[in-house]
Amino acid sequence: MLFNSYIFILLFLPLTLTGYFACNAKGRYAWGKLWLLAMSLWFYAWFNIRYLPVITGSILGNYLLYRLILGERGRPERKRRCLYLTAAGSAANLGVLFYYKYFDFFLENLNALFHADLALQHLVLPLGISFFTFQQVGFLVDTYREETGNYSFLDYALFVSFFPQLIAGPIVTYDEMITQFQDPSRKGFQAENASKGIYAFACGLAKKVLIADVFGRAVSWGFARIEELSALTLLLVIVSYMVQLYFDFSGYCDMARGTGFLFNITIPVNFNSPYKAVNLIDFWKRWHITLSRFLTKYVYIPLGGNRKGKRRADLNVFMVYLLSGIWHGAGWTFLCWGVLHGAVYILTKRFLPALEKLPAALTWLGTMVFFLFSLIFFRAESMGQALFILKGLVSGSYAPGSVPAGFLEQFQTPEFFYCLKLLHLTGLPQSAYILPLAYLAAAWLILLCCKNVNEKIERFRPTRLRALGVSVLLLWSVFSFSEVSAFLYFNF
Amino acid sequence: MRKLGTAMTYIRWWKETCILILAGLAAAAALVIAVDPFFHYHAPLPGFPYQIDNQLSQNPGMARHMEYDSLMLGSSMTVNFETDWFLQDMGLHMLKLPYNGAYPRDIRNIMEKADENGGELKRVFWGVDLASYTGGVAETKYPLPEYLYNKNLFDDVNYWYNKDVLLDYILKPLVEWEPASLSHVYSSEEALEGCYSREYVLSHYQVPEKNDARFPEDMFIDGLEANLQANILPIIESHPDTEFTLFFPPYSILYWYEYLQNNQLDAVVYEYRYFMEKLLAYDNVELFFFPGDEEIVCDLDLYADTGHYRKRINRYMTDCFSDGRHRIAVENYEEELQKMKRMVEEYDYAALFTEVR
Repeated sequence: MLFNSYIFILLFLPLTLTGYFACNAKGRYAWGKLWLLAMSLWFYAWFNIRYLPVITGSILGNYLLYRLILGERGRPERKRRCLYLTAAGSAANLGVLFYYKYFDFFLENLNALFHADLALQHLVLPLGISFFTFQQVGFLVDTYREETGNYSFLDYALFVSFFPQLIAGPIVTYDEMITQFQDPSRKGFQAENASKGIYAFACGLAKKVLIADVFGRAVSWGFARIEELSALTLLLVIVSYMVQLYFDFSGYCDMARGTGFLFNITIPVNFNSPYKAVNLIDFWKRWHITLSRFLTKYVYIPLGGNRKGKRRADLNVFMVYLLSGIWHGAGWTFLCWGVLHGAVYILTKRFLPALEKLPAALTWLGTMVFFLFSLIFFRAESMGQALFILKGLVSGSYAPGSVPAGFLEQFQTPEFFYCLKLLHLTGLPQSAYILPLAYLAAAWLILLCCKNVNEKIERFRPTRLRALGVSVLLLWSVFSFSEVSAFLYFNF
Repeated sequence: MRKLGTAMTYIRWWKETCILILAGLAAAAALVIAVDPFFHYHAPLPGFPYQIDNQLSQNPGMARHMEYDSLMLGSSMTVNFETDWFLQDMGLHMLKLPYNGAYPRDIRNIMEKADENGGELKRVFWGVDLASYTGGVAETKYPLPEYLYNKNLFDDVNYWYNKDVLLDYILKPLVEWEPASLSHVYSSEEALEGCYSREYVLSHYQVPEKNDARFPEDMFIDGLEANLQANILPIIESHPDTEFTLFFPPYSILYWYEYLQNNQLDAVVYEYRYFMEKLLAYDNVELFFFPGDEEIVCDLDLYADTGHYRKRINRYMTDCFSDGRHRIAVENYEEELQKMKRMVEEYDYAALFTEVR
């Protein structure tokens, strides 16, 4: 189930909230959690019921391992056994992830390398598998490190499957979630949290539906005919992707946080205005914060962090970004994206004192241009396509007239198109450019000049204007879920 | 009254926000159900300037809730019929329900919707494009908006909370106030004006290369037979009191040239013959065959591409439905097919293509 769907907003969320608080109101907290767990599994199974066994098996298997380690730990003579159990558990988790996410990629490369003809599996990736795998591996490692407490199955299962963060993060940790599930002061409906929650949810939904999806249409249009596009159009497509990616993912995280607030659960911040970053180190403190947190704790520091000299620290950073790249997707393009970020991060770290002396606007621009450049690899369907885009950007035409009408039409949303008509602007010679430029300008204005949703929640005041704003954003977004298929005019 | 920017208690804010959202949802649903621009719940409101331009979304509701005693079904080959002609010539109150590129399943789907209407159906006119009648029996040409075709009330939210419906089909018609003429809906001639000429058609025509491959004469029959059994014959058989007028539209000579170059002309003729023989066995079916009309087929000034003809051809076909010209029967269908085949084989394409070059 998606947050931006009728069923989620009109049925699932009201039902889940009502059931949860009804159970808690009668003091039946365990029933409340069970209800939340059952609804979370329904939320997951809605995408594809065949993957319900994957997540339930994963939760059961990991909880069993956790209990085994818990039973052994604290006894020095069993330390090695705990280590084996943790290693085996982590390997099993990563093995499942590898099977679903990377096996075909692995086979493709074997085939290419050895001219073999191994049959690809064409598996459909269970949603959120990268997230719940990482969460559970982290949990097992922390259990081995004797950092975790004694948790019930219900608390554990809810920590992994709590629906707001199940599909696309943030990557939460047991200590920030389970303690909240157990806290009796969070069991009753709290209007302040609910108000902040619906506010964050409406903002996130609008970011996703009203902004990201519009840019997404333009990006899909562009990538469907990349060979035909001029350099200027290619640039606009990549810039659109940069906007889409942020609004899509951060919009999702705002909705996740907002939904969490409705249940009095605080989900960690995952984005903090990353496009305001003035260098790449700053950027990674703001972009997908919980992934960086995870990789720092479970990869960078175990590898030695910065405790073993500068070169080793650089190597460790590089490993983290390599892993980050491959975590995002199975393909050489993602690997290349990770390598680029790792290399530039190391360079930025090395030259940070010098960079900080430069005007912030200049280093900001450099950071954005680099991120834009790296996104070519992130979005391209193959290395060949990425290189084609790069070549096109260098050698193609930047004439304003080279932007095809088809690209501009992707921004002609009906509500704004009618605004233009009312203002009699549709008849102007360059009127097709008005909405695309307005969308781009508005998006970047929001990205650079506005407080982000997390900051706004902190300063939230319950005013009638805000109630009106939330209602309008929510309704406008809901009314945008469905489209009437364009009239297919003349197709025999 | 409290100013918009003044803070209030959280509980009050929460309640007011929820009320605003629920009121917005209720208002949108009420408006869509009341106006019902896709006629999903009821017949058109008297006086509302409905815009009708979306076959996939509006045809099922029109079939279920409008008043008519005859139908025009088929593909884009049928969009330029004016239903008023049928009223004047035959006294029929016709509703036009075409689907561009219609597959047999599209026809079956819309006939099922028409059956829900409950009114008497005297006559069905049905443009048959055999080239589209050999695919999968469950395939529709385009994905359908299922919420307008099924009986599931829950998925009607796609209709109620849909800004395209609210803006394009409720607000815009109110502003523009150009009520659709049911006789004229879906007509394509105005949009294609300027394209109907020999020069235009030839300038957009890619002359097909000769294919050396050979194809069996019955290459189309399996697909056609499956569609006859699953989608076409059940319609005829389940409406014994309805008269079905099936007609084969007159595509241009360029359309046929592609079959000729691909060595599939014999297979197409075989397919036509097979279809005719099956349908002529029914008492409530009459067939009209226009592809052999040389005066139309070979006059490229009547076309906007290889298949789509001017409205005047639709008018001509309507006249024929009245007076019986081009009607085929068991006695003459083979003769008509052979006449068409000869025309396609003997036409001087070389002279025509000197213009392309």
